This record gives sequence, C-alpha cells and structure tokens, in this order.
Amino acid sequence: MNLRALNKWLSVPGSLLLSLLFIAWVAFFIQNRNSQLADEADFSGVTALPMHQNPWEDRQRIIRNGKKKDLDLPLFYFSLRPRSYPAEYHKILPLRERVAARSLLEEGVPGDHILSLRNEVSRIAASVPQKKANRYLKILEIDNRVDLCSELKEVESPPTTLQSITADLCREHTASYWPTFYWHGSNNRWHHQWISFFTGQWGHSRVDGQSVNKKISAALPYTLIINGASLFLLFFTAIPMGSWWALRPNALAVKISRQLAYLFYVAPLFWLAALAIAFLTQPQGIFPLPAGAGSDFEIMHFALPLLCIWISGFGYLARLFEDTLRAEWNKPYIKFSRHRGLKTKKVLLHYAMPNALLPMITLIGAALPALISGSLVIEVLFNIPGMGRLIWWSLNAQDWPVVIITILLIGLFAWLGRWGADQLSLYLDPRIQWSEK
Amino acid sequence: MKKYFLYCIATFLLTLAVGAEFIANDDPILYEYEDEWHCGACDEWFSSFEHQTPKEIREILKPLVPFGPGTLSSMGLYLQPPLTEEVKGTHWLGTDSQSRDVLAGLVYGTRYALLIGAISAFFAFGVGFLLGASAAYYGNKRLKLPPAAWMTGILLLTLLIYIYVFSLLPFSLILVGGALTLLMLHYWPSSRRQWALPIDQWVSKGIELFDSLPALFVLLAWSATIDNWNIWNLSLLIAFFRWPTFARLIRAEMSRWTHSPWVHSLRDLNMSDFWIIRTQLFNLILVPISVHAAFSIAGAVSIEATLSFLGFGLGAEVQSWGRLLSDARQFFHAWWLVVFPGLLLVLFLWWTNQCAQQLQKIGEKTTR
Repeated sequence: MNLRALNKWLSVPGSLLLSLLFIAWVAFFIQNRNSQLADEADFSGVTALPMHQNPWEDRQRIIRNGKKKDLDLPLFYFSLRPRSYPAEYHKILPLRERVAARSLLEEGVPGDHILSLRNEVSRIAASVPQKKANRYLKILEIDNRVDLCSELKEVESPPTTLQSITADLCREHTASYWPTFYWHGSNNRWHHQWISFFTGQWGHSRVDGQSVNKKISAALPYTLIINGASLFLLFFTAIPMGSWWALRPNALAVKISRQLAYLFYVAPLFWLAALAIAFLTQPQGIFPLPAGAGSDFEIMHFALPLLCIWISGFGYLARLFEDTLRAEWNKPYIKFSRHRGLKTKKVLLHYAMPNALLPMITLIGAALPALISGSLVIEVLFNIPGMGRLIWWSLNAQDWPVVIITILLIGLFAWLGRWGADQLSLYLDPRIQWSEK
Repeated sequence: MKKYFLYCIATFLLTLAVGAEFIANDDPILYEYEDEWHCGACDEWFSSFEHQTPKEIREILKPLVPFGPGTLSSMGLYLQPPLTEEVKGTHWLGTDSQSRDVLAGLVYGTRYALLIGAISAFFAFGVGFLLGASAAYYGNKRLKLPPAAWMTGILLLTLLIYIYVFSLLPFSLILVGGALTLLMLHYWPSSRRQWALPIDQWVSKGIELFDSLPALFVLLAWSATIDNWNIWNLSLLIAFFRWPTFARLIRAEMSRWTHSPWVHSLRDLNMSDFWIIRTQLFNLILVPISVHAAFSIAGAVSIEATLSFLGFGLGAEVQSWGRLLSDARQFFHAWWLVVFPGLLLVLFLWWTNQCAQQLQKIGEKTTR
C-alpha cells in the first residue's frame, strides 16, 4: 500500500473529529450563553413552576437541578483566572448570585471571602425560620461592596464566624489580576458532554422530560423520507431534462423550460412553499392543508412538500448536469464515435452519460447540507414532525439538550455524506488521484 | 436593452430604500403650520427619534402611501386582503396580522434588505480577502517570523482574550504586555532562526471547518440567544458564516498569479508585499470577486428572509420582507402577504443574479 494513501486514510477520522469538535464548540458556546438563564426559569414539568413563592426552596431547587445538569462543573479541563477569583467560582449556582459575585470580584473583593460568606450565609439560612432565611439570602444577591457591608452590619446578633467574615470583607483590598492556571481534570462539562454524545446517552428534553433519543428517533424517519424521496425525484427528472437541454439548446421548448426552471431556482424555497400553501391547498386546490396539531399525518401530506423541494432544486441540478454533459459532448471521442455512425442514443447513454454523471455524485454530496436545511423550512411550514420541526420547536422553547444533539448529528451526517460521495467517485473513477483531491 | 432594464430595477430599489420616508409616511412631506412651511418626512429621514407633527396643519404635499412602517390601522383592519370594500383606496396591498399596511412594510423592507445584503457582503469580503489573499500570496513557507515574534503574538493574543473575558483593564497587565512587546521587538532583528507560518494550511483548514457547519441550524440557534437585534449584529452574524466562500474564491483566483514570473520579478525588485497585492494582484481578481459579491448579497438577503420567516432575526416590530411573509405561516390563505413581499424578494434576487452574469460577461471581454 502506498504510504501516501495510508496517510490519507489515517487523516479521515482526524478530519471528522476536528470538524465535529468545531461544530460542538460553536454549539457549546451558544448553549452556554443561555443554559443558565433557562435554568433560572427551571422547566421541570410541562409548564414552568412559579418563582419567588418561597425563595429558600427556589434556591434549593435551582441548585439541585443545576447539579443534575452538571452546571456546577467547570466548563473545560482547565481555566485561567485572575488570582483573586476563587478556584471554585463555577460552584456558585443560582444565576443572580453568580452575577453578584462576579461584579464583587471585579470590584476587587477576594474570591475566598465571597465563597466563605456564601457558605456561612446559606448555613445560617438553613437553620433559622423561613422569613429570616429569605432576608439572609437577599444578602447574596447584592452586587457592590458598599451595600453589602452596610447590609451585613445591620444583621441582628450575628454569629462570630459571620462577624469575622464581615470584618474581612469590608476591609480595603487590592485585587490581584495576575493570571492563575487551574486544572480541573476530566470532571468538566465539555468532557461529560462528549462522553454522553458518544455513548448515546443524550439526556432529556428540558420541556417535556422525554429522552432526546426517543424524540430524535421519532422524527428521523420523516426527514429521511422527505430528503430521500426528493433526492430520488430530483435525480431522475433533472438528468433527462439536463441532457435534453444540452443536446437541443436551440429548441423553443428548451429555452422556455430553462428560463422557467431558472426562475424557480432563484426564488427562495420558503416563498415557493408559502405560495403553494396559499393557492394549492384544499379550498381552491387539490392538496390537503398542512397537518394540524390534532389531525393525523397522512401520506398525502407529503405531496406538496415534495413538489416544492423538487421544483426549487430542479433548476440547479438540471443546469449543472447540462453544463457537464455539454462539456463532455464537445470532446473528441464523442465526435469520433458519432462520425463513426453510432446512434446518438447509444453515444449518449453508453459513452457520454457515465462520464458526465461522475461529477454529479460529488455535487449531491456537497448539496446534502443545503437539502437538509431546506427541509427545515418545509417541515416547519407543512407541519411535518421531522428533525427540522423538532429543532425549530426546541429552539423556540430553549430546549438546548435537543438542539445541541440535533446540530451535532446533522453536522456528522453532512460530513459523512460529503466524504462518502468523495469515496464513491474515487472508487468509480480511477482517473481521480489522491493528490488531485 | 437588458442592461437598461437592470439599471431601471436598480434605480427603483434604491429609490425605495433611500427615500422610504418620502414614499410611505404618516406625516405629510410638506405641511403649513402657523404660516410656516415644514418638512414632516425630513425630520424622520435625518434622525430616528419620534417627531411630533402638530395636529392643526394644512397639508401641502402628501406621501404616496399615507402610512409609516409601524403605523397601526386606525380602523383596526387586521389581515385585510387588497381591493375589498374596507381597504379600497387606503391600504392598497392589504394589511398584516397587526393591522399594519403591507405596502409601507414593503417600502421599508427594501431598505433592510439592501443594508443587510451590503453590510454582510462587505464584512464577508473583508475577512475573506484578508485570509484568502494572505493564504495565496504567502503559501505555507513564505511568511517567516523569528521565534520571538511568535511568542509575542501568542502572548499578546492570550492577554487580549484574558482582558476581554474578565472585562478588566488593569494597569499592571498592560504594563507587562507592553514590556513584553518591547523586549521581543528588541530581540527580533537579531534573531536568525525563523519559523514559517503555515498560513495557507490554516486558512484551508478553517474553510473546511466552516463548510462542515450546518450553517442555517447554527445561525438559528445563535440568533435564539441574542435579545437586542439590529441590522449590524445580524449582518455580522451572516458575514461570519459567509466569509469562507469569499476566502476560497480569492485564494483560488490569486494563487494562479502568485507563482507567475511577473510577481517573482516584482518581489526581486524589493517591492513590498502589500504593494504587489494592492496594485498588481487585486486588479486581476476584481471581476471574479465582484461576481461573487453579487451572489453573496443575494445569499445574505435570502438568509435574512429565511431567518425572519422562521420567526428569528430582527424583531417583530421590524417589517422586513421575511417578517411580512412569516405571517403566512399561521394564516395559510393570506395570499397577499405571500405574493407581494415574495415578488419583491424574487425581483431583487433575480436582479443580483443578472448583474452577476453581466459582470461575468464584462470580465470575459476584458480578459480577451
């Protein structure tokens, strides 16, 4: 085996891993912006529980749920923080308290004092009656030192531990911003997310508590059917059409159909779909209205979405095939075989077509992501319970576990499609060398 | 003939975008108040704050559409199709689900579309050109830096990120960074060993990574996290996903020329890299870039329309074309909300595509 080919094959998993890591990084970044906020709202059932009926219990619940979702773990294997920040900054769970702690830290209050105050106050709050406890908890949400000190001094008969912490806190401090390196080990959110992604434990939806695996496996068939069927349709209509266009470029019907296909290609897919719904559904047209929440999904509901995807992708594919076929048709070997007296049909089907079809394989592999994102719009509009609608709903409900896994899966799928198309064209056409790529 | 037609469309769209306040406005363009003439539309044109037009005025010149972008119908006409008895003569193209005039929305939507397309194409081009051109020009071996410069670069980058993340600008850190830079700059010239920066490899890898991103999904997820949307951050977000296409094209076009004897001889004449790229290479790739820029504007507009159609992107109070269309998601048979914004959108997309083709023709003529 050629060393270069071996190198290429080894680099495949590396490249896949790198792109997955990148997608995951982007998704992770997006998720982190919102996960804390979503946690404050605390969707533990179908509806959000009312907040601030009982601050102490709310706080306990937020901490409990946060721990369940790994929110008290550090983000990554290591972190780089100013020295005055506490090493266990990530363990401050309720968002309000974290924000307050952050602004205190930026004021220059040492992090260790803030943490010990937190521990002390929550210890005291657990032991005193309800009303008093709420007053103690308010202290943790104060975000500047002056207010904090005055509030702490007003506490009636504070324990000695709290007194000493108050004295420490209210002294003047000079913060040290010198970067300090902390190593957290593998017990971090990034690591856990990857382990759970690769072992298939994708967690539970934040909205209805259903497992993500179940949701995705329920949605996947619809998306596969739509994309598979539209790809099949596209392929078997665009290629005859494209060859007709390539061989008879001057016929009037060809000119008209080319312009029409071009127009449909330029128009955005969602507009075509909205037009189709407005004019072709039941009162005026023959197609059924999009499936409602109550009504069942029937086979006829696939017809109009497929038509829309087909009509918008048709122009693109047929034009591309026309170009490749025309380039092939002008090559000397085709001219020679035609002069030799072979029938046009034979020259087209046996000689030109296999060569012209090869680039289409790579092209379809590259078009897979576009096809999937097109099916998102279609699924949302026609209310098809596939992956696109799932991700759209989850986004609207801020259901991040579902969103992240879906994005990762789609990225993986798109990569696999492209890579598979490359491999297939490599296998079918030995003229393409590794070096060309 | 076709060229003039394209010019006409350009003029039409630009007029709508620039003069939106003079075409659709609930204030008159010119009015008389206390024996003085005022310009009602100008105030809004120059500044975005609310201007109160007094009640007892004599209108001199009324705008074509007597509704502003967010003006609600005074009669409470929701979702009225055009040319019915209720809206005849007032709402020519009907009203949307919040009783706003569709025609006024179309006029102001043109402005949003053009702005978003232009801004995002500009930034995508900027980043794409910077990375693509340096990848093509320097390749993997030509950009050599002494180890000291490498260290300084990495340290300064870390410092910047650190300062940004912890939102602090302490004097000591700046001092340390400055001292470090000076130290490195001092040792820079004396260093003989040089490490090559494989910039071509990095840019190609970056393009590949962005290709593997399911752009629409990530864009949707990202846009769900941002609260205060405006034209700028939306365009920047779109540009973030569109620079790789520019970078790929520029890298491909430019690397055809970077190994030519002409460029080699210019280098041997000690011309600066920046000068060669700016005066010699930039002209050569101008045509393919402008063709691609036209496509890129169309792409950005269509992405923005898709985003607002799905209910993300600019807020619900902004009447962009996609937002107008998004009403049709709930009201299936509101055909006027589908047809008119869509027609304008398709006109714009068709126009940019045709412009790109014309540019390509011009390019073919000049290279011959």
